Amino acid sequence: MGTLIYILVFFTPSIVESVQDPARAWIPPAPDVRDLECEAGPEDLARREAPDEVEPPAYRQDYLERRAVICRERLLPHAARPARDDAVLNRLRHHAQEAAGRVKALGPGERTWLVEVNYPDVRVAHKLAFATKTALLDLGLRVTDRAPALAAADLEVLSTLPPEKGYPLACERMHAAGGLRAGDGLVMLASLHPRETALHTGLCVDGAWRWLP
Amino acid sequence: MALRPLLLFAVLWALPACVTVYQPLSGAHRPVAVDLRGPNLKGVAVTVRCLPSADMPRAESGLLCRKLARLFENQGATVQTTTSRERPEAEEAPAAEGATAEAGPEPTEALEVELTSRRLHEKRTSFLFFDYISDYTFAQDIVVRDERGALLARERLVGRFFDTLGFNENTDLNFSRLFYGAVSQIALNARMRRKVLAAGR
Repeated sequence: MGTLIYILVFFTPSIVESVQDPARAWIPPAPDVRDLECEAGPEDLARREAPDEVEPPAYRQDYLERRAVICRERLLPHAARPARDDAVLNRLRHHAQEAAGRVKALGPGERTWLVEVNYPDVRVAHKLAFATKTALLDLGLRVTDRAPALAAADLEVLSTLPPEKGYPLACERMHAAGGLRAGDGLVMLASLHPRETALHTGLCVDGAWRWLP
Repeated sequence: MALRPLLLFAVLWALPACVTVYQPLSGAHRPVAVDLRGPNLKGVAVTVRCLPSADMPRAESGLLCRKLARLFENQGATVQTTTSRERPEAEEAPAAEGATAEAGPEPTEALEVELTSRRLHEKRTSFLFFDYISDYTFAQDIVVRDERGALLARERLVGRFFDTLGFNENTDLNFSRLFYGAVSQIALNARMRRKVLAAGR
């Protein structure tokens, strides 16, 4: 009996601390830790994020050590879609805002921006394009849904070229063929390697191509 | 009668025990698309710099560097390692830090991968004469630059190890798969960014 009391006295604080830890999941069903996206942070942050769940600090010492780990379950469970698509869509907002921020940093202008995405999965490309257009609009830039058309013969030639030659040539052809009008600019988000999860931003303005650093 | 020990063993095996679990936190839980055995870094000279810190002594930094050297070599890179901020000298570095280099085509690109570790949080549990760390969170800062010093990638991987009641957890394998996968992905992304920057110069 004495041993039991001893164990309870020593372990109760530890058990109480971990009851609400989603990764330990003593009471709710344990999710796969890979399906949780967690950020460790100060207790104040948790109190701001979830004021109804995190109590204000106690006036008296209660011998519990508190720290905040804010977790949310992924929208789709781990491995529900290809890893590369998952990684890119996981940072959709980041990619869109980064590209828009780089375009905005070029300075004020009256250009109308077209957005194209070179990504193997069309559905992912559409999501990226939509998010980037929204991010550009949020920054006060003009955006159009027009797509810069290229002739089939151009596409056939361009598809055989490496990216460092293909993108500048495509830009020239879009400008020459009228796909990009005067006052238009093209923002291109491109993935250059089949295993890459980052995206690169390029610009086509007045027939000249450049990658943004 | 002979079944009794087997039954006891089966019961004990099925009982939950104290196990250590690895939980990837910010950065470390991102999906990885890279194939760790593919030639992702072929033709790249990689310098891996594992900087010691208060939470990571030089010996452990050296061990991390050696493991990363093997990781990048498996992906086709020529690797040098160091645990200091100074640039390793080509002849001295292998003897000093255990760096390795495989015979192959001369590298045409270079990357510098710098890693710094620190412990963000730890919780100690004491019981009678035992005192051990039952929960800790670490951060691994990774910075990748090209041969000119241009920043290609800056990421922070945060992970947590904690003890809990549970069944057999393959913690080391889980951690290795996620951590080395994330580092490889960062290196590949940095390589592609280097190519894009080089094309823009």
